[in-house]
Amino acid sequence: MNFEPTIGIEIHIELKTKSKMFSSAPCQFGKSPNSETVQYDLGCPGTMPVVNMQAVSYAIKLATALHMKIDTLVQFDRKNYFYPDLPKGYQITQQEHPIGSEGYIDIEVNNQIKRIRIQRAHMEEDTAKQLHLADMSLIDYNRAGTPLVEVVTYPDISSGEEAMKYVEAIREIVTYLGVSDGKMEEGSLRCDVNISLRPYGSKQFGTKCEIKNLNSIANVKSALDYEIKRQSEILLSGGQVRQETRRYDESKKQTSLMRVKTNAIDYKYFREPNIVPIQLSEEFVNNSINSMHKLPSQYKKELLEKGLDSKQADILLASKELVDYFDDVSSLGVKDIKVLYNYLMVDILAYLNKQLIGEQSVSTLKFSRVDLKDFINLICEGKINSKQAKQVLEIMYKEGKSPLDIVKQLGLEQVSDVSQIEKIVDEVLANNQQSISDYKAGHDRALGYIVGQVMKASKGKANPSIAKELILKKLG
Amino acid sequence: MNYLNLTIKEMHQALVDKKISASQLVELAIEKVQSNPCNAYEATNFEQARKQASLITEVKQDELFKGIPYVCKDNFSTKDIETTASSKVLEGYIPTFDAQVVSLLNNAGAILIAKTSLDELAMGGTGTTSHKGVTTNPYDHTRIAGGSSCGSLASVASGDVPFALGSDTGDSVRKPASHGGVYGMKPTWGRISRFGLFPFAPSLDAVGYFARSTYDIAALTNLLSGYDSKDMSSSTKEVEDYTSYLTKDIKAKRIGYIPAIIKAITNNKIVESFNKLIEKLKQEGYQVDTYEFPQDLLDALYPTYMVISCSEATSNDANLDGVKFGIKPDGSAKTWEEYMISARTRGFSSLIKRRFIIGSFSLLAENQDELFRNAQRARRLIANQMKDFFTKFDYLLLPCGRDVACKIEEASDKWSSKPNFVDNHLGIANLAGLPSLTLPLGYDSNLPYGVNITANHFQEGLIFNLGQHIEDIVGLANSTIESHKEGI
Amino acid sequence: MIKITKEVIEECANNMMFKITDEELENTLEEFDSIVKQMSFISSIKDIEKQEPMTFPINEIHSYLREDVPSETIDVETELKMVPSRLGNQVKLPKVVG
Repeated sequence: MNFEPTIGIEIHIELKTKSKMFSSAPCQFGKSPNSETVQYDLGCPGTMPVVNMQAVSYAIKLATALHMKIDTLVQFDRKNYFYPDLPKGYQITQQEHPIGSEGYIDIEVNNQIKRIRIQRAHMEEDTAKQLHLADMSLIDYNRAGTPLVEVVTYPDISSGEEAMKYVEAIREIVTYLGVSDGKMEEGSLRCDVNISLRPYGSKQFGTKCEIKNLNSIANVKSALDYEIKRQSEILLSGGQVRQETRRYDESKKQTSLMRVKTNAIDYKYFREPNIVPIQLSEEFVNNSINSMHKLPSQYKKELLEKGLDSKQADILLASKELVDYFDDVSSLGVKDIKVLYNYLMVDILAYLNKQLIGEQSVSTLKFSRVDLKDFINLICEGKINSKQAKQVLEIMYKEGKSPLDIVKQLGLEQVSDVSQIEKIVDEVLANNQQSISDYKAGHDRALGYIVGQVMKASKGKANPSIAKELILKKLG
Repeated sequence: MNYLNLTIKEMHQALVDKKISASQLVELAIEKVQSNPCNAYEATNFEQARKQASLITEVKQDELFKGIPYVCKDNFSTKDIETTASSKVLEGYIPTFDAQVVSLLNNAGAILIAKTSLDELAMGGTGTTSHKGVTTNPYDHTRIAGGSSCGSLASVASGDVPFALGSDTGDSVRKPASHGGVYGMKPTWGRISRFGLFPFAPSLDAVGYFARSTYDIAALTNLLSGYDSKDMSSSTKEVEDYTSYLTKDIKAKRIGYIPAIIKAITNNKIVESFNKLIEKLKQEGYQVDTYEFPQDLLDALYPTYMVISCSEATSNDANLDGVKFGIKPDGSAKTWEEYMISARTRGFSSLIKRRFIIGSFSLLAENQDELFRNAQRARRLIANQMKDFFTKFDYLLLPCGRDVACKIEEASDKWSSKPNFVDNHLGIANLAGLPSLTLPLGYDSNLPYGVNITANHFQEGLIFNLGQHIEDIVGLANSTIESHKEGI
Repeated sequence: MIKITKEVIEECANNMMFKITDEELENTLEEFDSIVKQMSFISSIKDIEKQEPMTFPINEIHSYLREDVPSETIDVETELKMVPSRLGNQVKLPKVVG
C-alpha cells in the first residue's frame, strides 16, 4: 500500500532592514554579542514598539510577489509565552490580520508546473539567539527584534522534491526582491515543515509531524524523504504516527525526536494595545510595488526572448548578482547576447575565481558595464579576434580602460575593409607563385600558408575570413 | 512664608521675583520629603536635584516650570535612578532612559526630588500594597491614601512639592486625589506619550498628575501633551493652550450626572456638598440634569475593568523574569523554567499573583471569548453609552466614591460578589478613553473628598473651564494638610 | 468557561511562571466564586455577543511609520551591568533543553 504525503511549510524570512522591526537598534548579522540593542530589545519596562516603514514596504513587495491580497490596515497582536529567547514574554506578530493573504507560487517539478497555495504572510519580530553549551545557555539579544515575515503554505506539497523546489523559489524571490539575504546557513531564512501521510484517495489527513532545524535547501528534501519513509514504515507495520516535533540530523541524514506534542500551546493572543491600526496610503503601497526588483520568473521570460536557452537562463538565474549584471550590460545594446553570456560565464567568472583577496564579485571589476558592452560588440562586429580579445580583456581587468582605447593603443583593430585587404592579397599572391601552383595541384595546405602570409603582411590586423574568401576568389 | 505651600504659578512668581532661589526651594522640599511620615517615597534624587538647582541663577516670566521641585510615581522610567514600581521583582533595576514626560519636565527646568510609592506595579486602589508597606493618608495615618498613585498624592497633599506625576489605569490618580483634597488629572487616551511609563494595561493607561489648582493642572497639560514618535498611540491632534480656557466664556453649559451613583453614596456630607455645588452652578447659568446610565452597564463596570486590566497585565509584566534585570533568580536552578519561576515567585506579592491568575484564566483559549472578549464588548457598550451621553451633555459631574478614605484595615482588593459601581465609576473615563479631572469639594471631619468632571475626547479645555468655576465656588485651591479652607 | 478547580488555578499560575502557596491557592479559589459572579454581570448584558470587541478607546487610525534609520545602541557594559547572571558579554541561564 502506498501513501500520499501531505506537506505544509512555514518559512521565517529575516528582512534586510537597517533597523529592527519595532526598535531603532541596528540589525546586522554577525556583530559581537549584545552590541546591537536598545532598551526595547531587552524588554525594559516603558519601552514601546514603533513600526519600521521599510519592513512594511518589504513585506508588501514579498506579498505581491507571492500574488497575495494586501491588507492595508496594518494591525498587530501579542503572542504570549515564556521562553529564554523572548525578552518581553510576548512576541508582537500579526495573528488576526496578516499583511498578505491567499496567494500562490508556481514551481516546476519534472517539467510540470505545480501551484502551491500560500495561506498567509505576516510580519513579526525575531527572538534572541541562544547558544547552548554543555551546562549552560547563553543569550545574545542582537537578533531580538529583527523584522521577520513568516510565509505559510497550505498543505499542497506532496514530495521532498516539491518542498525543495518551493523553498528554493521562495529563497530566489526574497533575494531577488532584495528584502532578505535568504541565507539558510545564517538563519536569515528558516523553515519548519509539517508532514503527514494518508492512503491515496483518503480525504482525512494523517497525524502530522513537524520537522525543525532544516538549515539548507538540500536538507529540506532529504529530511522529508527520510520522514516519508519513516512514517510509511510505521503505517505499513500497522502502527500509528505520533504527533511530535523532530529535528533533522544532517550527518546521519535522519530525523530524530525532539519532543512529543501534547496539547497545543495556548498563546493567549490579543491585540497589541500600543499600536493603533495603521492605514497604509495607496501611494505608499504603490511605491513599494512599483519599486520591486525583477523576479526570476520575469527574468527568465526575458532571457529566453533575448535568445538564451533555458539551461543558460537557469545557470544565470542562480545568481542574482550575475543576472542583474548580465541584464544591465545586455540592455546597453549588445549585438549578440550569447557572446556576452560566454565571456561572462567563462572568462570573467574564471578571472574572478582566481582573485584571492576580497569579494569574488562583478562589483569588483575595474571596467564599467558600458566597457563590457563595447568589448562584446568589438567581437561581434569582427573587429578583434578571439586571441586579441583575450589580450584586451587582460588590460581591462588590470587598468579598467575602455576596450575601444585599448584596441587603438595596441593597434589591434582588424582590417575588414575589403579593398585594403585585397591590395595585400594581390601583393602576397604575386610573391608566392610556388604556393599557387601547389594549391592548384591539390595541396590544400598551401591555402593556409597564403592566408598566413596575408596576415603577416597586415601585421595581424586583416580579418582572416575576409582574406581567405578573397584568396579563393582570386585563385578561381 | 511657607514657599512649598504655593501653587506652581505662585512659586514661579516667587522665583521670578527672586524672593527665593531654586536651591532654597529644593532644600526645603528635600527636608519635607525626608520628614514625610506617610511612607510615600521610594528612591530619592537629592544630589542631582541640588546640582540642577544650583545652575539656575535666573527664572524668566515664560519659564513656568524652571526651578519647581516635583516628585514622580515610581513607575516612570528615570535614568540612573532605581525604579521598582514598588515591587520586589524590580529591586535593583536602574533604567538607562527617561520617560518622555520626565524628559519634558526636565527640559522645562522642573527638578525631580524623589520617586513615590505605589500599589505594587500600579495594580491596586488602596496604596497599601507597595513592597515597602502601606502609604498612609496625610490627613489621618490610620486611613488609606488611595491608589495606586498613593505616594504622589501623599506628597502633594502634604505640601512637599506643588505637583507630582502619577498614572491612571482605572482611577489611580483621580481617586487618591479625592482622598487627599488635591487636583488629579487624567487626559484623553493618547494625549500624552506613555513612553517610559511602566505599562499596567496599555489600552487603559494614562499619564496623570496631581497639583493644587486648576491653573497648574492646565499648565501641566500644556507642557506634557503632544505626539511623541516613540509612542505610536500618542495623538497628533493639535495641542491647545489649555490655560487659556480658564477665563474663556464658553457656551458649553450642560452638566449631566448619574442618579444611581449619587444614590449609592453612603456619606451624606458628600451628597450635600454635591447638591450645593449643583445649585451654585445652576445659579451661574449651567443646565444640570440627570442621565440614566443603564444599570446592567453600571454593574458590569468593575468586572469589565478587572478582566481587561488583569489580562493585559499578564502580558505587560511577562518581561519581569529575572533574566535581564531586577530580582536575582535562584542561582542553583537546574532549568530555565525553575530559574524564571524562582524570580517571579519571590518577586510578586500574593495580590499580584491573584490578578495574574485572573488575567491568565480570562485569556485561555477556552475562556477568551466568554471572558476577555466579552469584557471588550462590554467596554464598547460603555464607551457607546458615553457617546450618547455627550450628545446631551458637555460634562459628566460626579462625586468620586461612596465615602472619604477608609481605614487601612477596611481596605481590600478582594472581589466582592455584589456590584460596586459607586467606587469604580471613575473607570468609565479609562474604558472610554476620556479626559477626567478630580478636584477638591469638601471635608468631613477633616477628611477630604473630591468631585470629578469627565468630558468628551480631547475636550480637556472644557474641563479646565468648568474646573475653574468649581474652584471659585468651592474655594479649595492650594489645599494641603497645613492649610486649607472648608469647601462646600 | 472552564470549571474552576485547584488544578486550573495551579495551571494558570504555572502558565504565568510562578508558584503559589497552598494558602494563596485556597484564597484564590475562594475568591473565584465572587469573580465568576462578577463576570456574570458582563455575560448577562443583553446581546453582548453581538458587539465588536474594543481594544482602542480612541478611533484614531493613523498612517505614520518609523523611518528605517538605526540609532545609537546602548553600551554593552551598561546593558549587562544589571543582568543577574552573565558570562562575558552574554546573559547566562541554566541550560535550555528542547
